[in-house]
Amino acid sequence: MRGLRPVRVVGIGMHRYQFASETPFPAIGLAALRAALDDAGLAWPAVTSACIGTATLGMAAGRVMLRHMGSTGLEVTQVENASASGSSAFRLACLQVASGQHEVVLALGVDKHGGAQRAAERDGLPRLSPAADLPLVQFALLARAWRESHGVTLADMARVAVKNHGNAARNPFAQFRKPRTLEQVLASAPVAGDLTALQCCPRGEGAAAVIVASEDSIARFGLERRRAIRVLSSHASSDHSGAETAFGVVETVRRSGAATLAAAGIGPQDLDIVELHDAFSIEEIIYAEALGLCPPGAGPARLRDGSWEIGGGRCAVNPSGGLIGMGHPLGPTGIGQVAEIVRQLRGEAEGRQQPGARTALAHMIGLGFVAVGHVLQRENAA
Amino acid sequence: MALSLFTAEAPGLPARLLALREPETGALTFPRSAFGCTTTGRPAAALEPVALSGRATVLACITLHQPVLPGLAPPVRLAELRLAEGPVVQGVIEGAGGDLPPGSAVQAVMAADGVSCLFRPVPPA
Repeated sequence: MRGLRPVRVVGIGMHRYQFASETPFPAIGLAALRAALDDAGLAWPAVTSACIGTATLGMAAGRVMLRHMGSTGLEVTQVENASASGSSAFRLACLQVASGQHEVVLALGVDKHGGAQRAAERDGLPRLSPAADLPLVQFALLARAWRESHGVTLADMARVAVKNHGNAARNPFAQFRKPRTLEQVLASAPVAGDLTALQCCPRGEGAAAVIVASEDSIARFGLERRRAIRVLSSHASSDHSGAETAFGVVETVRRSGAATLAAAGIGPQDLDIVELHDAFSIEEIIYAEALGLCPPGAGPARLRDGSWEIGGGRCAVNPSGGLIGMGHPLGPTGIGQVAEIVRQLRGEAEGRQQPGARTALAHMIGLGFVAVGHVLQRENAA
Repeated sequence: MALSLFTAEAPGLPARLLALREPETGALTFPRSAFGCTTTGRPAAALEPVALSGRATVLACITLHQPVLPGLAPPVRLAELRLAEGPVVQGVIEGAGGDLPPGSAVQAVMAADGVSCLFRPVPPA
């Protein structure tokens, strides 16, 4: 965002992530949208562009949903980028404000379970393994390799799930609301390799909305500046050659994280909160190390000593409950990360507040792999 | 129609994996495709066909315990493999048994269905 206009998040709204239901997606998405407008203190006509992150709904989900708010003629763009769909929609919204194209922009993620198709299954190329493009198998293989090469234990992996289920239990928007013990995580059904069921994110449905605004619009609409959270950086990338497997995603995350933090002018030591892609428990350990939250190989120790717990150390990792606990409905996930961070940086995360949180990173990966990172910062006292 | 992945004389016999090689850099594209070189981006017409040995080394091997994909009945062993010529692929390990340790040698073979390719553990010499 360097060299562009400042962008701030002025409104957040969620529809709880949940298992598949008969509820139509507009009801889910509009609940999040109306909550975000209320949170910001804005009327719908102030929003002149909407970036809709969805991976399962099909064409034109934005218009199908937003016409129920009244057709104001706003720009509507649908963004699909696998697990990073919401993050990419948020990035587009930020860039639209930063570039001066718009003053107030909505980023909204909404999805229902069951409609996702992987383009990799339609590229006309055969695979040696029918599971070659299945994230569950890719990350189970990565987990096994990491265990063998880095000494990560089954209990280390399970501690990620214990922490994140515990955080989710305190998050009213989370799909899972039940704390789990180490024994429960380890004893849950084996799924693939060393991953048990409670170490895998649930799929489901939900919605997350955030509204970003320019300096001028915050003044013009009389928005509450104290609650506006600055977006310091936005960065997106994809794999480099040779990194297209889950084994290569580690380098992709390392580069993406470094670039996102550098663009914000900060280092990993400045982060009070990180929300990251923990679809499978091993990912949190690997990515937290790749993002520089600890020296390589020190992740398990951080989990054991509680450093990544809320209030337990320097940086809370996935205080929302992460994908494992909060859920991973795809389109909403990345925007839900931002909503959680904004809530935390405002000091409004009741029951799961990271004390004194000022600076946070939202980081997502998506199939392929793509990576999207954002740094957000509170500019004044909470 | 998809290009075939391998060639073998009969089910159970060693398979050679069919790839494309970029003549200047030697970069391999597997599976071969009409789309171009996955390393250099050169069009497929500029690449030369090459048959890989089918030998590979296990980087990681796991057992899939749940029926998450049609046609992949658990338990089934899956592995991340480095082919002898360099590319990293995911493959299905032939037969039942424990997960193979890293460094294990495997050889591609044509499966009994005559269509798919499995990787057979190679006993240490």
